Amino acid sequence: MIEGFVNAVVGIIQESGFLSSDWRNYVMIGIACVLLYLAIARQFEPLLLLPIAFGMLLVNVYPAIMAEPTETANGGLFYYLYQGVKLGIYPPLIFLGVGAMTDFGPLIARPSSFLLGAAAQLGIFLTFLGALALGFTPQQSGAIGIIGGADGPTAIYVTSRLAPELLGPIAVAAYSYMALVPVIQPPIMKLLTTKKERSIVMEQLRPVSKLEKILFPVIVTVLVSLLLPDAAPLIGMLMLGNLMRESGVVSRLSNTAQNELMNIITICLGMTVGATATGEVFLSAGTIKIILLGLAAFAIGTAGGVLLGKVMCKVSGGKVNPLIGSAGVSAVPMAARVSQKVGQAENPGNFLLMHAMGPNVSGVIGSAVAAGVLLNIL
Amino acid sequence: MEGMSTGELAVVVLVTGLVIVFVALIALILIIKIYGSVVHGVQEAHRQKQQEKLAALSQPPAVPAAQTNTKPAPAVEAGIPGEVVAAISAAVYSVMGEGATVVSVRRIPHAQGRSAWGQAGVFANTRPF
Repeated sequence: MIEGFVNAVVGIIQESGFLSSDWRNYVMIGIACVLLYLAIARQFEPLLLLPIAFGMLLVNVYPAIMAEPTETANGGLFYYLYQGVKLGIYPPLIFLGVGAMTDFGPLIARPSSFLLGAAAQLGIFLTFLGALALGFTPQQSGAIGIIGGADGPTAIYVTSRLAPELLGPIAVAAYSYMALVPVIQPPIMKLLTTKKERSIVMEQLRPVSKLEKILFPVIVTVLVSLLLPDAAPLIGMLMLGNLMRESGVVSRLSNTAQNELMNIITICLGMTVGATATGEVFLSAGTIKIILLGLAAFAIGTAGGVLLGKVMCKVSGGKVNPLIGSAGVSAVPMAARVSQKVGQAENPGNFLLMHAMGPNVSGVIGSAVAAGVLLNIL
Repeated sequence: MEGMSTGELAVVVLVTGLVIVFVALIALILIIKIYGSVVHGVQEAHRQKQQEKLAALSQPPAVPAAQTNTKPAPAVEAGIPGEVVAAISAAVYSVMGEGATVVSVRRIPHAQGRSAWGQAGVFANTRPF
């Protein structure tokens, strides 16, 4: 009987993670704990970083949670939840909620904001070149470049279609940098603008009628989907959410899209994306390159928006504050808040937030268009 | 994109990407400007029409006074100023249209509990689908 007990205990120990895990899993557990700290103590994008970090922790403690089904056994829990990422279902559903939460009024009031949203996509395409130069395949380079769009769901959508093997590092890089927007952007904004430009007070936006707001999602869907069918799932869902919000006739659906549905999808997406970051995949030279390229993409995107903002400032005779250009890298509404904060540091009476929301939401459309281009070409 | 060298592919993606993104967003700028001005124009015309209608109503009619006074003047409780009666009549007209007639204007004693605005709010929020 004692022998049976000893054998059972030995069997449990041999099966346990203590012996089956290698050093890389332990490093990843450490990284997951750092991300959990950033999410909880520093509140860096906690809604996403917390489930991502915990998914990362769980898969490195218990890799079978992502196991594929076999003839004799079912797959792991996360394997099934991950199908929403793999099949490109979660990102468009997140966009549905984002659309239901977004007010495109500032963009409709000043359509020229679209130019700033377009210029901020420069980071995507220049980073694509950098990734190619560092030896990534064209598909992997496209997926890495899209980090510069500063749009988590778009990055995941493109990566799951172009380079699913890089989903973990790209998602972690994209969301980490989105959380670090208040740290990354201000030095670039200050470097590229003068004190006088940063102090410009912009004219109040015109009021936008309800009819204009209702027509906007329909027009954008038709135009962008016809031009770039690959972007239709993202743009279509974004605009459906927005139409539900602006029409005012389906407030229950709009509330569900921006609350319950968004929260459920965020949990599933975050956990399963984090669970792709296993030790053997994440701890490689490739991941370090992706992290560096992601930072470059963010910085170039910010610079692109600010530089075009300077051009618009000159053309408009000093009516446009170039700081709103940095908000062209999606990251809604964090990037717009950064514009407001940097502008107010120079002139406490300056309120740039609503002006920056125009480029900010146009960045969401711009990065979806850029995603469509990459998916189409690659 | 098969058969292309890495350098060629890089240039193609860079140029095509930027051009398409700018073209798509510039097209959206133009469309928004066009439909914005159309919607604004239509709404402005509608507003002007309504203002003209109101102005026409406030002007003394060209027909003899005897013909216009077909409806009896409302019985107004003592102490209610003429401006208040005019405002109430205008509100009734704008909500119910030309056929409606203000028969009398009188004060209602304050009901216990909610005010008329509070009652309206409760009604709006508890009305079934």
